Amino acid sequence: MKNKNNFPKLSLSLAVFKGSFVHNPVLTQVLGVCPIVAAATTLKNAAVLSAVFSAAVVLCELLSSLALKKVARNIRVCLYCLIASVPTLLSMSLIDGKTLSSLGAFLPLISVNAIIVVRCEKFAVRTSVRNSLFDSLACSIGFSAVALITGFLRELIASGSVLSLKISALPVFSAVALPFGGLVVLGFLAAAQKAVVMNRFENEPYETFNFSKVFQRAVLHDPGLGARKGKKQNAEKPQSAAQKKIRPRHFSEGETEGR
Amino acid sequence: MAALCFKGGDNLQTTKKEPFLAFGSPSFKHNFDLCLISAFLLAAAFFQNGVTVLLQAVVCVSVGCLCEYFSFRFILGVQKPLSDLSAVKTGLLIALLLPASAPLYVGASAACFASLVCKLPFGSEKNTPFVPCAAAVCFASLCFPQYVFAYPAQAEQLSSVIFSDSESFVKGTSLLDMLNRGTLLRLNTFSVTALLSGSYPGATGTTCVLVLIAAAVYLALRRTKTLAVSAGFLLACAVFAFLFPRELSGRLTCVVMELCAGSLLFVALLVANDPSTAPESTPKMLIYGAAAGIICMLLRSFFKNIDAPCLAVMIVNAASPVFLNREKETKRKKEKRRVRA
Repeated sequence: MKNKNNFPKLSLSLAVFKGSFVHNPVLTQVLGVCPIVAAATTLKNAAVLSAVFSAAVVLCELLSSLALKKVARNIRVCLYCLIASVPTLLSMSLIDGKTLSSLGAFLPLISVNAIIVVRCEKFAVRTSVRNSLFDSLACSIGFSAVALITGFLRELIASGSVLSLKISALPVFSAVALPFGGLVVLGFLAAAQKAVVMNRFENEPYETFNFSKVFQRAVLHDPGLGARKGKKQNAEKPQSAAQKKIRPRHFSEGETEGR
Repeated sequence: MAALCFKGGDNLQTTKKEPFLAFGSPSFKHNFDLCLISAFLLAAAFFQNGVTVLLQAVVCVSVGCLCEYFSFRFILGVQKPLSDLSAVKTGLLIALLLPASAPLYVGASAACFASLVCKLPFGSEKNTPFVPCAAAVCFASLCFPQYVFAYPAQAEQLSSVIFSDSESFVKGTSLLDMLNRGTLLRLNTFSVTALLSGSYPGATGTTCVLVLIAAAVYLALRRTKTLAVSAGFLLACAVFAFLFPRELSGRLTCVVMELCAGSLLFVALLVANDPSTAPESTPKMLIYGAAAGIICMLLRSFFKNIDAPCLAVMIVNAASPVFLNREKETKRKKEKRRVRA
């Protein structure tokens, strides 16, 4: 179904469900991981991060879809960051000092979050405002869900409490509050999400961050990459139109060119 | 709806397989050798610290085995045989790298971490990018530094700390503490006999130098392929200690002290040379071991309250594929091509 601008029309429930769960930006594309790993150490921090991120991504995608479609790409990317910095700066004036200091530099850094830039550039400027709104909602929900679950688990494991209320008498593992603990929790969440998606949504194209591929290319100097470079350098020149047209024609036995 | 799906760069691909990074596999022979050596170290520690040591080892091994068996069975749906002794080996090494005074849950949580975080996500031990027991000990030292770096001086009082977290035992000063404080030889506290027999306070399996030397000889006699890693590790540490001595009483003495202090010798002989993370050719093994040794000595020089040898092994595990494990990748690709053909 398409609207008058020939943009595909998305249904809210489907867009939000698939955008937030099946194609979760954090778990499947490993975007915007930094604030979750470094700053989402408690549920409160995670809630603040989620709220600020949601405001930034919704505002940014809506404005991008409304006004930035005809702006040059180089300028557009700077504008995304500027737009996203508005809710970030506003939130910094509203949050209490203790939470602000525990979040550190990661709260202002939300204005340059990879998810915002990628979603705006890849999606918002190429589609309608309605679709952008749905997409931004899906991104916000996906990011917030991951941040809140990570914050909850890390607070529970690292200090045995949730929202500063002691609820566990078990030994605490304070190391989980460190960034490596965040990465471990995110890894398990990504594995669980992948397992659910691959079992329940078999027909859905599942995109994931293939670390081994990055590893081969960036670190091991994959021969494939070298081959591609070499291919580019030594590539045969494209055939001219005349060469393309004049091709030896294969005739079957008994057939003559005249026929 | 497909438009919602991010069509990203080259790094985003549809995949159904785990990102396997390392391709060696610790053989049954290697695991058996390490278990045997660990048994002797446990026996030596038993005479120093009493039955607590054995209890710690039993807990670590049983928790590790149970976690590995049930996690593989119910999460991956694979029945993993425990007969390859990898879980037993990991549990024993963890128990030996912890002090006898550590509460049992410290060892249990470390063994759990080794199975669930270091092995399970990568399929098995042969695919893990880090040595599981080194990662587990680093985890324990980050979570419970008050227990991991507190060594008991007297064995008689250990029974009271088995299930409690009180500090009711008498804390001893380990050889590494003496080196860090620079009080080793000035106070005339050093004794070669005590050093060899493991009388100095320290982690359970790391103090008895005599058994560790015998273990090195045993591994050499068994023609362990990855012993070059240990050689590189120890050589680099020795050279570093010789060039930058921390004691004023002589360079050679300082070299001996540095090698025997802490868990350096233990980690070099039993942890760093894990076949799943070590490179394949001997020169690369030497480089790998030397890198670990230099990092270990640098960590020791600048940071006091960390388990430097284990952390150094983990750092080298993370960095070694960059420059050392390329041939494994190439071999794997060739094998894949062969299978496809």
